[in-house]
Amino acid sequence: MLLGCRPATQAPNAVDGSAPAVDASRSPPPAPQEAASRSPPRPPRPEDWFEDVTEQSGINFQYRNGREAERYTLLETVGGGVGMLDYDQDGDLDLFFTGGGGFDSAGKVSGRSCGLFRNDGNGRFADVTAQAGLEDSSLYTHGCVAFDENQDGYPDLLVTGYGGCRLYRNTREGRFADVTDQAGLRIEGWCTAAAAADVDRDGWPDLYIARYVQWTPEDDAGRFCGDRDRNVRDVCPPQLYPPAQDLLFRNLGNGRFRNVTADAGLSDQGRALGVLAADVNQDDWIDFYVANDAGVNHLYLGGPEFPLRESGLAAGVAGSEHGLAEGSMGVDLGDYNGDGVPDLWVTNFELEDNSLYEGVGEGLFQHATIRAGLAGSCFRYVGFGTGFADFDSDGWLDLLVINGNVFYHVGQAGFEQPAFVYRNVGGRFTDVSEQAGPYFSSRHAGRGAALGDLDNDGAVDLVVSHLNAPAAVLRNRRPPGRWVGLRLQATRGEREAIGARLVLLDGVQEPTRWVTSGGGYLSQFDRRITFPLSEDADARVRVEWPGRSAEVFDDLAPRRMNLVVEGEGRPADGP
Amino acid sequence: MQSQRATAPQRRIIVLAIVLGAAVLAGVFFWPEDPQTLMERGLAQQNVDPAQAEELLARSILAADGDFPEAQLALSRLLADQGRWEEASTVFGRIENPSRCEAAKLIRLADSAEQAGRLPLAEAALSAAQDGAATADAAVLRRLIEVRLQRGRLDLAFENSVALSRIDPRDPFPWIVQGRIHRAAKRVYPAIEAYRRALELTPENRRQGLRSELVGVLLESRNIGQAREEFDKLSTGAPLPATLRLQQAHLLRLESRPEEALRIVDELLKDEGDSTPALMLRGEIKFDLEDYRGAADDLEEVVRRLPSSKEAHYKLGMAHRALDNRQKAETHLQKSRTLGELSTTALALEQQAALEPENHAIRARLAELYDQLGDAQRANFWRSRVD
Repeated sequence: MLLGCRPATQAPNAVDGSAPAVDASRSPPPAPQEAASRSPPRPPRPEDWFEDVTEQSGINFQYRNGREAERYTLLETVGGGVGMLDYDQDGDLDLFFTGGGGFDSAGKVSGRSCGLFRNDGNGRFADVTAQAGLEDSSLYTHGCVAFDENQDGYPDLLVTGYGGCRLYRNTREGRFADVTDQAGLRIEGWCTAAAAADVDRDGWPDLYIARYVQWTPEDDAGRFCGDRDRNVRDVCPPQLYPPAQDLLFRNLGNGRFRNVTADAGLSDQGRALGVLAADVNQDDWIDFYVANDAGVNHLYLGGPEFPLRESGLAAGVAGSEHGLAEGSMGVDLGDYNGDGVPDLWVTNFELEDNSLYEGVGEGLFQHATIRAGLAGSCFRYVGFGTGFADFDSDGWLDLLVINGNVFYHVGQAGFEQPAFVYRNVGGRFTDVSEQAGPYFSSRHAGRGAALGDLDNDGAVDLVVSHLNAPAAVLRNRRPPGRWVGLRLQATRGEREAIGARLVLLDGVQEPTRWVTSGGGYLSQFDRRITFPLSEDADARVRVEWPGRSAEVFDDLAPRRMNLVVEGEGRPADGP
Repeated sequence: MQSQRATAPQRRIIVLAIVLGAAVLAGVFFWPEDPQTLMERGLAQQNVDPAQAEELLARSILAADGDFPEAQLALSRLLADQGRWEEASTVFGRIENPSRCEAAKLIRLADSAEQAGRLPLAEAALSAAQDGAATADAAVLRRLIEVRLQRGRLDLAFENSVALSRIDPRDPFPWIVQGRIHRAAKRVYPAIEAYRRALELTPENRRQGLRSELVGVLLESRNIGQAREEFDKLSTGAPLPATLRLQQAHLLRLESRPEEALRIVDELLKDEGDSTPALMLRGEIKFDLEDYRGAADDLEEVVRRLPSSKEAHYKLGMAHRALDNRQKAETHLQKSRTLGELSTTALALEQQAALEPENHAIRARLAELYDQLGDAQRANFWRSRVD
């Protein structure tokens, strides 16, 4: 989150004789605090893209980071995520929130229960945390990933946090059981994001667990971070702590996982906050893209054998336009320019543009932030939650960016910051946050966000987690007239078909989507895929199952989610 | 024969005379000198016999038990006039409270010191003049700011500039200083505000340079809309100087108008062929336009001129990758990675150095790292703080 890079290339600086020049290498004085620039919250308008339905939804959940203990630790900066999963398989997305934690009087880290809210299908959610067996405060939590660990058709949950992770197995009776120990996942360290995908194509989803830094509260004893001159204390930056190595666990298919980090050749030099599992280079093997804070990002390319090949720099997705390390947090994959090749998107620290990497084929990317019109508008903010989604149902993937500072006092643009929506028109983005609704006209200490269709109307809704403030539920008010939704079920491989590629065969735009795991920031998105349809278009979709053949599904029902089962389509002609 | 011996009264008179004589002699040698008199005598000798003047001033200070600011300042000035700067600084440094000295004399010493490049002494003298003034003197404060900026004492210069802006709210100078200090510290948003204040206070016909600086910081902060607005105010129809044309090209690129940016930077390089920033920018623009051959040519030249530029190596590596020159791509990407790792290490160590101000090993390592990164300015900065 914090890098403090000097600008890669300084803009030309004309200095005349009216005042002496300043030597940039010298120690600077303190900065005045600055407010973010957006106007105060405005009332809702009929044309708003999103409506804040938090109150009506019945969701009242806060992520707590322990700020009140005034410890000023890095732990407080990471925040939490949101999971969208249909835990009871009733066809509606339920919501899971990580709860964070705090500090006891001795400064020891303590956990706080997460929250599970059942979607009752009428816009209301019921708190079922206790009855689902998830009232667990043993971990200071951050992220979550839903995946079908035992391939029984019900999503299980992996929750990450400071001190390890917890695997909750879905019992299919509305409850979860903590099977962390039985699964061999009792691990140490500071776990942040996670992704699950079948790396070795054995039909079982494996686990990538991102870890941040090696830190204990004792490391901060006697340490003052912040603005010494003004005696303003703040959290310490991550560079002060050694990176923690990420972990890869192979799912043995018997309820147990084996740590294969060494075989996989994962770097020990990342301070990971985001991870995405997908077939990034389109070679039919699962890859992992890892967003690192205060270091270059990693792209681990999968293949028939370990180790994974780290190719971030060579692929062009390691950092800034100039390859410089940034403070990266959230990540997503999508086809922003409609060329059928996956592109990557990463949110970054303040004074860094967020990075759009345009896929140019063969697993190579070019930094495209400037040419896509995304330079500048979030430059002063710290980007966390994010995702590609076609919010306005025009077939082009738009972007969401949730911001919030890590510093309470000494950042560039205030602790609470505005969120952004960018509309994509033909591969060029425009900031439409002013039209996006009151949520986007006010400031928040934003962190994770989940994207998905909560009311099954074909439009992507949002749920956002904040630090020490209630989560927000934002209903998309621009549902498509016609659309088709797909829920994949693989039969010859891992059931959720992570890595699958889908193309809407509408004869016009033919948008492409991928099934991914991880992604966003510490959150779990709706894994179903939705395409908007024109009035006369058939709902016909080509599905390329990961590592296997492609099928076309012709008779999909519009305006609803379709269960698409591998083997039930007709073979596709081409690759 | 009659005895010649003195009588007892006579003996007493003789003893008394001897004692009195000894007392007079002792008085001559040991009677405390008057510091003021000695100083005045020293000052009178300044232009006649500097050595004598130095001795008298030294005696004057000694006679005052080492605390006679006026004489100390005079001696410091005398030594300075002889080019004995170290001694002059030492003498001045021993003045317990130099602000008790006459401001005009302090300023004269500061003048000499500044002219001789003895900035610490100039700063000390100006600071004393400022502290001693009953009301803050804008002219002295201005000079103090200038000296402190030259010395890299940005924190103090910043404080002084804030004070100056209160004394003379219509003076743009302190806002320019604050803008530049904020900008140097990468606090671009406060810098923008300060530049805007300075612009408001500057007459229209003298705004160009300042506005160009504002455009520069707006570009650094990727504040594209405002940069365009300000830049358009600079474009009066007359031919633009090189710095502004470079800004113009930079801005056009950020506005996703690469063709126009290329035209500007092409013309600029035609007129001013030696500009490395312009070459770098043209390489980037050509890359945007997928002219990878052209980009590689420009960036090769940038790398030749700036072999430690990780940015140029990376962009060149990417251009070679697009041209399918795999070996060259690998070489430059690897070089960029190595430099990037050094840079990351340096940044982490800077954080550490801030927490451990007494740790000289960290500073030495930072100097070494910045040498490797080709950043001589920063390397020297850390080297100067090792001892």
